[in-house]
Amino acid sequence: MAEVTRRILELVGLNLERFRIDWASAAEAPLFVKIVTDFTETIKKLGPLGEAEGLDPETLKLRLAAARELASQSRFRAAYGNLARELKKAGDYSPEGIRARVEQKLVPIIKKGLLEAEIKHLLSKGPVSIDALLEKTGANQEDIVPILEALSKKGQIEKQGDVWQPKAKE
Amino acid sequence: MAFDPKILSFFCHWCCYAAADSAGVARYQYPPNNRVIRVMCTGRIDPRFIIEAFYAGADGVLVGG
Amino acid sequence: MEAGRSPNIEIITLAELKELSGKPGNFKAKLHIRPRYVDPLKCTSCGMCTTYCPKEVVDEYNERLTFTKAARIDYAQAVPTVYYLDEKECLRLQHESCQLCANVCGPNAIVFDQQPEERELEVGAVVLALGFGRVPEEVLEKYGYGKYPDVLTSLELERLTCASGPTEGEVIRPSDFAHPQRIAFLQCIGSRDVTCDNGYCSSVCCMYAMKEASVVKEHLPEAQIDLFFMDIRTQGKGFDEAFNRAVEKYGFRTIYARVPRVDQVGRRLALTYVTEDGKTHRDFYDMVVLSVGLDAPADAEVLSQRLGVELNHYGFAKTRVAAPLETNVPGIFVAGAFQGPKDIPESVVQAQGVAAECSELLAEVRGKDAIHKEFPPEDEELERLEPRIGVFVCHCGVNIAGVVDVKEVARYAASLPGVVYTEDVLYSCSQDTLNELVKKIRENRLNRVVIAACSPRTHEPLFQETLREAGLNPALIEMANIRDQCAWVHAEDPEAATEKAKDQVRMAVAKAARLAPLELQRVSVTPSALVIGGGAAGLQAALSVANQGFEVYLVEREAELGGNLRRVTGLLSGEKPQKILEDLIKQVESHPKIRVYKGTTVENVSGYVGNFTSTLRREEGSEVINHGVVILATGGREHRPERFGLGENERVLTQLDLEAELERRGGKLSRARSIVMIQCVGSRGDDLKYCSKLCCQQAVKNALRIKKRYPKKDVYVLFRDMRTYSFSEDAYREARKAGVIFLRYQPESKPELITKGKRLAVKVYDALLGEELLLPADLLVLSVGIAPGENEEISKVIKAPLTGDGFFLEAHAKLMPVELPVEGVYVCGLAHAPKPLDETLAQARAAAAKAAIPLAKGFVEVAPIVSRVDQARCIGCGICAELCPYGAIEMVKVGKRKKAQTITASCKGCGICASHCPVLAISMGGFTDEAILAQIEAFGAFVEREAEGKSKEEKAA
Repeated sequence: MAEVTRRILELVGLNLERFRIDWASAAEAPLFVKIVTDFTETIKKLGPLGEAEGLDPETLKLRLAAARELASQSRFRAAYGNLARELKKAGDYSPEGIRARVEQKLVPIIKKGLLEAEIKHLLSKGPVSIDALLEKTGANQEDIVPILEALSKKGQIEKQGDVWQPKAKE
Repeated sequence: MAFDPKILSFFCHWCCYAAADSAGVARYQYPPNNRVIRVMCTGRIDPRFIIEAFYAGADGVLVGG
Repeated sequence: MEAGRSPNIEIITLAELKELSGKPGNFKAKLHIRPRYVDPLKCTSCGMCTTYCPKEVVDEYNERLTFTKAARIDYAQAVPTVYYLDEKECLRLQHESCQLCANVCGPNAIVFDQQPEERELEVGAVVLALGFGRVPEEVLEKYGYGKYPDVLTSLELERLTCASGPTEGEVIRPSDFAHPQRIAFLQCIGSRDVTCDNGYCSSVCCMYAMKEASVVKEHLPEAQIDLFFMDIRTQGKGFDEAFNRAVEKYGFRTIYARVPRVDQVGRRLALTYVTEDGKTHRDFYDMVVLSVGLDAPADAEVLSQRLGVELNHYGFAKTRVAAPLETNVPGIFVAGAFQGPKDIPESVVQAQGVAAECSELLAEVRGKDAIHKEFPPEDEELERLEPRIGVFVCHCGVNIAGVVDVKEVARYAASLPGVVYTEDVLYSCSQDTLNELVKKIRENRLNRVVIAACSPRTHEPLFQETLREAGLNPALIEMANIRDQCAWVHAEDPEAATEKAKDQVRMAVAKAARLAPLELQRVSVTPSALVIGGGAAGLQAALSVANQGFEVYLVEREAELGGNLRRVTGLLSGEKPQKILEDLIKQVESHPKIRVYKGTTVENVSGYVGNFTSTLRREEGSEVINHGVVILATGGREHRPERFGLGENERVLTQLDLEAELERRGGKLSRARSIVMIQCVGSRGDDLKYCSKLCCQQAVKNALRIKKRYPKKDVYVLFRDMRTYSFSEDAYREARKAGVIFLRYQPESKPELITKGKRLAVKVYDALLGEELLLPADLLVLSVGIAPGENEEISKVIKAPLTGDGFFLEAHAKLMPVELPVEGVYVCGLAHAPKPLDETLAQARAAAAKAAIPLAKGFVEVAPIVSRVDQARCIGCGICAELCPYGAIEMVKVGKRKKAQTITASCKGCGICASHCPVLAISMGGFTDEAILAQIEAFGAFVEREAEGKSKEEKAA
């Protein structure tokens, strides 16, 4: 869970120190206090969300909105669930093992899912040129074009001259 | 004005939430920046929750098992 | 509180037991009940009588530090929560001259002419829980108490540090109301003092002094606190660690000295004392706290004569090691400090143990007269309506309201969507408030309730029950923890704490709006217990469960029953340990309800409370058994460190080895002329971080046994702190009288073993002489402490956590000392922590009492936090079934497709299944995605508010 979440946050562009997972048992109140205090300090040093990362509020909102959608998508969730199953079967919970598997199995899906969601969001506000899309998402032409084509095949969007726009409902 | 971070925490009922209660009983003091959502186990935490927390504007998310 | 709510417990206050006749199982008890002058059925504890009562009286409850009224309640959480008139002080009752209280009492609850009542009860057993008495004032006067105002007792300080006490938690010295800067705590006041006939140790004062000193430091960070000890006796589980932590954190000075007197010099108090190096010191303090001991209860003597119960020479109940909860009169039991000075955990253990004693005695008639609580049917129509949320914000006296602006939180809550009713209440958990809560729910047709108070971990069950009383499903409540995780931990920043409280309330309201009624699931219980471990604890626990009428499987890994007790050959009380063990084994082996498995190990414990399945493996093969509960009595083992030549030199023994030698004629002991004992070898910081509690008693006992048999032999005991707590202090004194030489060593200069040819000697620094001594050691006996048994494996199997020291961690150190966090699993004896035999036997009975609850009920109610699969959505991928750590999801065929299904009773509600379901088809009872997402969204409003605040500020700038 932690590793996958971290990769998503990384792709969104957040500083990973903003997300921490830690343990304190019922008997460890002092440890708990230390965890909370340290974490608060860390975040204080980092500064407000987005600002510290150099993300303008609009981009930040867009990226996080895309991440939200991704996390509910069944394609991503099935891959995530299967990965957890695979890890349990292999009994491999070493950080390296988890990282490798996440990189191999999930990161491509996360990347694609995020991009797709971002494009949809941008298009939902009206026609956008491919150049603008490239600029706003910060992605490559090779990554974007197949997604646009797939979406247009599904009949969700259409190309009009230089710009893409949502297909008008008939 | 100094930056006052807004932190959302997910605590396990049996572990961290209990530790947080004990910290209270012992009157330890810590910064008042976190808000807590209790879950029965950290296994309940879905990546969605973390992302939603940032989407809602959290400056940091702490999961305590 | 819980006792007050049980329909099967009648609390009769102001009553005295006058006469008892009959026999066990069939007693007649005559009570004399003094009048309260207030009708408890009518009193709403509104407090009007106190407000208007013109007669001021000294407040005894607050240690005479303040005033109260003749019409009063001693403290807000008192049970029953009903006021009373102080007969001796009331103007009306004494002089017929006033009736203000009756005039202002709304419900007309005042009854001036109430008469004393005689009542006869038919009971099966009697438990004496008289508590403890006070150290007489003459003893305190020796230390200037009463003469110098700034000499306080620890009880007075306790009231001063209490947030709802006379100074609202402000520590001030009575002479000038200034904050004391230098404070001294004097230990052993009225304890370990033969001059006042209290030769015993009160067992609890070292710990409470540390606690009080810590609280004072929290209030007055500048204060410098010195504590004067004879010995530091923090022998309980985890106590040493807590003590050392406090000393380090707060910079306490601990001084080994008994201060003989206190003098006043100017405005300060002077202490003159001699430290162990023989030097005289004189120090000045602003306040001196007398750590008063626990005396025998004042009325014990009268009552004991009435009942024929024997007392010991200090006036406490006389009991035996073999039966620590039984008086000499069959059917009359004893628990708590009346049995001997003890702290809360020990008292709770005894209380639970005594419940087992009663349950054993009365097993045949169990449940005959029990009253079952009935709840009105649920108002399902109301539950289906749009959320009508009621928010109750608790002051918890000053616990919350002292920091958080409770009224503001309540006002804020009223503005939240779905909230139709809000109120701030003084104590939300008090009985009258709970009754009021039921009323408010009905009047306002509330269908969701938010309680902003303390932790749901401790109080949710109470409020859930209240909801049921109001005809609502118990799942329709959400708590916002604004005490333990807010007011208490942000005491220095009331504004931020209030904001946090508001946020937590908003999040709770958001969740409450999405709560749905959940069905309470009942699971039947297999009426048998598995007891793991056949030592003293396991034997006693098995016997008690069986005597209460349930089947027991008693499993011992070794070929013989008895455990560590087999090696003990004497007891301070003079009782014969082998006789005690033999009796236990005989009863266990001949008990028709107990099956004993020797040479057997337990494997694969699976299941849940009420329905466990385990494999018992022995050489001849294995057997699978079903049982409803598990008692862990896996014991501990003697720690045998390779120190002081143990294991290499045959003249180096442990205390347990010595027990065997003491039974032998001739042998090493008879040849030795000088015997040296060293305490805490490998304990309290070396291999074992903790104190093993019983070694000091054992050393004193064995030293005395040696001296009795060979008065001419020299016996030395080298110790750090002699921890002969409670009545074993008598033996310590006796040993010193018998010529045993006790020498304290410091942890930084531990004794050393010197070998000269074949001769052994121990080098130790003597503080009084200021030089190193060389003590010949023909026999060197080590107190080595008790290490945890092999608990790790069983802890993993049962999923019960261990402490850092490797013992089982109880569910609550004070209130749930034998229960584990895993339901249906209990612990006793050395598996819980090192302790002497009498405490082990009491705790075994406590575990048996707790274990018998589900067995006697015949069912357990499963908290409805379990997972539920929406099979219409489920795609049958099976991820959840494979990930579930408890095997609580199975794949079943529904039509032609495979679907997931929860095995409710196995489910622990962890939610791994839900968080990994690709199609979000699994919902968790009380923790649905919708509810959690709503909480996160509600959290977002906090961010928005902050942003608004900021922009406003910017504009202002």
